[in-house]
Amino acid sequence: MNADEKAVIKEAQRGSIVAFETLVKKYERQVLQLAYSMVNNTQDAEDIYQEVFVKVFKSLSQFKFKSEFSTWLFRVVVNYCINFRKKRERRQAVSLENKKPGSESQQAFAKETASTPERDVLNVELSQEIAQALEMLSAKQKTVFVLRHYHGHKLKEISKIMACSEGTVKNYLFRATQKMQQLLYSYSQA
Amino acid sequence: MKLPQDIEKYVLLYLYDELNEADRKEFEAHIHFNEVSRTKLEEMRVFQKTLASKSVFEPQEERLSELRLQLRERLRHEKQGFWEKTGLPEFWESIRWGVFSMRLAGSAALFMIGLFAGNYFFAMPAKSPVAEMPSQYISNINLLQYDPGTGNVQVDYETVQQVHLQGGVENEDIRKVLAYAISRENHPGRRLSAVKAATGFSLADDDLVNALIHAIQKDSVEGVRLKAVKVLKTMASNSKVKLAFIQILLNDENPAMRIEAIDALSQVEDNDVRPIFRNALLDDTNEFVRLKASKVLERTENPEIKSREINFEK
Repeated sequence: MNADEKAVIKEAQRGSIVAFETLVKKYERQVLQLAYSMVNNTQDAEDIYQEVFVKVFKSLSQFKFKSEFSTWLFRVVVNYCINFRKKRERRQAVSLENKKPGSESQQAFAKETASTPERDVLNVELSQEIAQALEMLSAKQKTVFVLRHYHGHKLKEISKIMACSEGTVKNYLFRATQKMQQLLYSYSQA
Repeated sequence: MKLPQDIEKYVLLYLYDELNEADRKEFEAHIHFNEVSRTKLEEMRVFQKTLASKSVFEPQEERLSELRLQLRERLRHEKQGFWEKTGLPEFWESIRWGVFSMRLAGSAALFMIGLFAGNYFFAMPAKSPVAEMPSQYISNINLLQYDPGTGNVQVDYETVQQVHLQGGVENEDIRKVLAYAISRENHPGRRLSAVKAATGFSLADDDLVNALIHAIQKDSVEGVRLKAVKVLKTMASNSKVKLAFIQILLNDENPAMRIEAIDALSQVEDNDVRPIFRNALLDDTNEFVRLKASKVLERTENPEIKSREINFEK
């Protein structure tokens, strides 16, 4: 953490919204992307963005500079997303709707990001399959997999974010990869 | 390294570049001679390519700005909410009004006794009515005129009787009436005149400073607020004045106010103010404020700040 960021955090700890917004600007993209990867729905990811930053602002005084601010922030995001998923699963369990989780927003996102019509058909389908396979992982497996594979965090950093050992993180990653390989077997072969 | 039973794990860690130097070399040597492991590695590479079909969600800059605005509103609300949840405002108000009403009753009683004694013994009007009548007795200001040429102030106001005062702002009674007018007068023109009249007083008078800060924070007329901040700049700086300028720079939506505030703060050689300048440099939407902030930081801090990205086209 550089001296400037430390100064801005200290100012935000004194209640400055302007200083806090400096931090928000720096990390918001990563927070939103991580939240989206975890919940697979744009609206939910935006809600998580709001809730997480409000929570961080309110509890900023508890940040004691013992870790990187980003590690602390991502831990809040990850924990919030895991709880969010649990609540959503409970809601879905009692719901009569038989929709696949996040499939609508995944389709919408895939349509937005695919660039050529030729590639669209296969990519949209595969992208949906990957998203659904990710939903089949346990919360912790998914967190490790998403952080390592889609967000490029090193395993050591992930272990700090998840407050567990590096060995445990390796196991989560390995099991997640195995499960994903099984679920996407036909695509890997093709 | 345990090979080949853990080979899948090592393949994965190898592809994610998570093996240490020794393990990586050992793994590469093993792969070179072991076809089964080589096949595993290829399978995993293909699988990772498959995963790449799911691109990472890329939020639009406009949407991020909207989210940031919503967040700002929520944070302001949360901050306000915290102050209210503590119950301190009500507590403070109850004390303030309790003390105020006791003071009022005591002052009224004293005043009546004084009036009675004065009439009885001297039967002459008091030379300085304001000295005997605290500002809370001022009920109506009927006239407030400031002559910038002479610095003279004329005030007609009522307490229990109409009073006429004339003099400069060095007169304490005049200052009391000005402070009252700045913070409590209904007529915006009189408030502005009172603020202008305070211009000539360069020392920090507590009542006047409080009234000016009140005007800056609460006055509904932008002209009054702007004049008040300009007058406050001319007064002797103390911690209260400094804090007022910091709050303006951080929170005021009017860029003209922030320009005056940063101009005033740039005169203060104080380490506490540097983070505020840094925020202004990074965040303020006004070009002049960012420029001023960068100049002050260049002057007072290490040169590395100078090289930070400064986007003056913001």
